[in-house]
Amino acid sequence: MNDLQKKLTTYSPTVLRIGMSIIAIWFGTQEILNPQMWTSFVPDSIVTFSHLSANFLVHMNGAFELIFGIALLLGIKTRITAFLLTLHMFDITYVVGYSALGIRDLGLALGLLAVFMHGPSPVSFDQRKSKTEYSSTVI
Amino acid sequence: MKPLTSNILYLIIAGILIIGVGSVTYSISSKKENNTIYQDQTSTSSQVNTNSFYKLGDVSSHNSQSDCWTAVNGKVYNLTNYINSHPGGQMAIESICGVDGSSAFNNQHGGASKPERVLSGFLIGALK
Repeated sequence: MNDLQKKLTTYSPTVLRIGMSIIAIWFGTQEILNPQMWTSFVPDSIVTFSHLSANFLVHMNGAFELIFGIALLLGIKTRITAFLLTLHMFDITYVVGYSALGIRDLGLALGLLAVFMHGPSPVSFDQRKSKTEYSSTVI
Repeated sequence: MKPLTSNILYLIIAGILIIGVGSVTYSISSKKENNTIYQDQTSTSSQVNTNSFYKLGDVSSHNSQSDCWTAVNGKVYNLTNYINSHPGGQMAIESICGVDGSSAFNNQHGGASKPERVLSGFLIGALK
C-alpha cells in the first residue's frame, strides 16, 4: 500500500465523523431557529406522555443534536457521542417509518454506527488527548 | 481521571448544556411568537384569509423559490418559507412551485398524517 492509500485509509473515519456531525449540527440549528417547521414531526404519544409542548420538545431535540453534533465534529468522547446520536437516529428512523426519508435516515444511522464502532479518529480532541497521555507515559 | 468518571462528567455537562440551550432558545422563541401574535392581532392587513379561493392560474404566477405557491388536493399552499426546511430537500418543493403538486405529494406522502399536518400550516385558501 503506498503512502497516499495509507493516508486515505487513515483519514476516512475522520471524513465520516465530520460528515455526520455536519448533519447533526445543521438539523439542530434548524430545529432551534425554525421550530414551527418541525413540531408536526413530534409523535403525539410523546407530547401526551411528557406533558410538554411539541415546540419545547423540538427545542430540546435541536439542542441535543447541536451539542452532540459539535462534540462529534471536535471529536470529544467520540464513542459516547456517536452512540447517543446513533440511538437518536434509529429512533427517528423508526418514527418516520418505511419511506424515502426513512431509508435515508437508516443510512445516516448506520453511518453514525460506523463512527461509534471505529471510535476516536485522527484530527480530534480524543486523539490529541490520547497522544498527550501516551507521551507523558513514555517520558 | 478514570475513564468512567470522565464519561459520566461529560454526560452531565452535555445534559446541562442541552437543557440550558433548549430552555433559553425556547423562551426566546416563545417571546418572539407572542410578539408576532400581538402584531397580527393589531394589524388586520397581515391576516391570512384561509377562506380565499384561487384559480390554478393564480398559483402558476407564484412559481419561484422566492415566491412558491402550490395546489395539493384542491387546496392552495404558500410553501415559500418551507423550501429550505423540507426534510426531503429543496428540489422536491421547488418542482411543485406554481403547479398542481397533488400527484407529487400523494406519491411521496399519500396517507401519512404528519406531512399533511405540516402542509396544513401553510394553507392560504382553496382551489376554485
